[in-house]
Amino acid sequence: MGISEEIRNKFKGLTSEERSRPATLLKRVQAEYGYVPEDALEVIAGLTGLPLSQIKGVATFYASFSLRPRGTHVIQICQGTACHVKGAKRLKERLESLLNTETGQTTEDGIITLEEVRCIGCCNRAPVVVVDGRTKGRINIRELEPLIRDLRD
Amino acid sequence: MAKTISIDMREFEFDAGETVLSVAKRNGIFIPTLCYHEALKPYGACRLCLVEVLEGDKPGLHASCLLSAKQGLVVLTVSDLVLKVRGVLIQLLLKRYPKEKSLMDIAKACGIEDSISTLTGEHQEKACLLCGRCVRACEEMGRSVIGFVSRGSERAVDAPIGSHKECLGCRACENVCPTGVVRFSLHDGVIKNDLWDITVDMAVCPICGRSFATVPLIDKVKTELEALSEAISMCPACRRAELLKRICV
Ligand code: FES
Ligand code: FES
Repeated sequence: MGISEEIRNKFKGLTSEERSRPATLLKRVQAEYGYVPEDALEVIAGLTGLPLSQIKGVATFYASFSLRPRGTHVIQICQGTACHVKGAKRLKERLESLLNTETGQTTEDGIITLEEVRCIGCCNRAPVVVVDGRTKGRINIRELEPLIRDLRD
Repeated sequence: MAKTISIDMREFEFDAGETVLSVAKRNGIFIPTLCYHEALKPYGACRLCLVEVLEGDKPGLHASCLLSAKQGLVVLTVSDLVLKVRGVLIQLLLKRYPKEKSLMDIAKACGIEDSISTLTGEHQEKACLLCGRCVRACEEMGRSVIGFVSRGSERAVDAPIGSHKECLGCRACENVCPTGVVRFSLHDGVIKNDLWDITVDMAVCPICGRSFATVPLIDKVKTELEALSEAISMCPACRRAELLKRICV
């Protein structure tokens, strides 16, 4: 079974209305594979009847979709305005050095992916990191090391 | 009685569905534009075409490329507010794309080149200003091969690999680009666009062997204009000769 066929199968069980919404389909693919393979974009373009360029536009607009495979765990560090004011840049640099990887990349052991996001909508808790979809606010730079250790265990 | 709007204290007639920008242009009143192109639907992204509405449904600043002319509308194209906001917009654009020629031309046309001469930066030739003209041209006239990707400072115009084969090579995108960053060049039997890495095959005239249009473009015309079908694969000169022959027999 080809990958396109396999992806199409993942959409079985969706209503025809759901199947016409690119973001719904992208979300399903992201949940199933942990990223959105290039082929999925074409499958979704075919199903929704929208141009591939627009599907790619949606897929690259939202930080919750990734076009590259991610590690087992994903740390997203907010670099929005409020978090920036609260020192998010230093946190990011610290994470990069702790993980020995650049933002947007996955650690060599394939376990942790570090990404940056722009304002996730809880600025009152700045600076914010999102670990595997869970938001952690008012992060202190000293909390980063134990956080990573926990993920690795 | 014909309907009129007032632009800069003068009354002008307008046609149904016309925008303020179009009335102004038609009457020789200058309003700077960037994302607007007469062949495309207005988009309202750059805001350089701002005018100040004094009397109308919503007084304040409006993008004239989107503002419909309505009986009794009173607008100014050069009020203090317009000049101030427009000046900032041009400066912001120039800050990001230093010395980009199309922007410098706009600044000159607006008479603000002095205030921008202090802006420094690397001379960057032919930048993409994200005006979206090419994206809209491709959507309206081509096949939506290109689109915006990412957002914020990463935003760009790109063509997903899978859509390259859809490109007609019509070059509408190149035609509407204000900076010239979108370009196709002719190589051995193909045209190439380096920005998006798209290559389209050129067709060859079956009579004289001249290469004159792309294969997918000819295919498209063929399917849409059946009567012309075989003659369309010939270059314009041979096509004329062929059609003339047909008429004369
Ligand atoms: S800026 Fe980080 S949550 Fe808003
Ligand atoms: S020309 Fe009207 S907003 Fe760009």
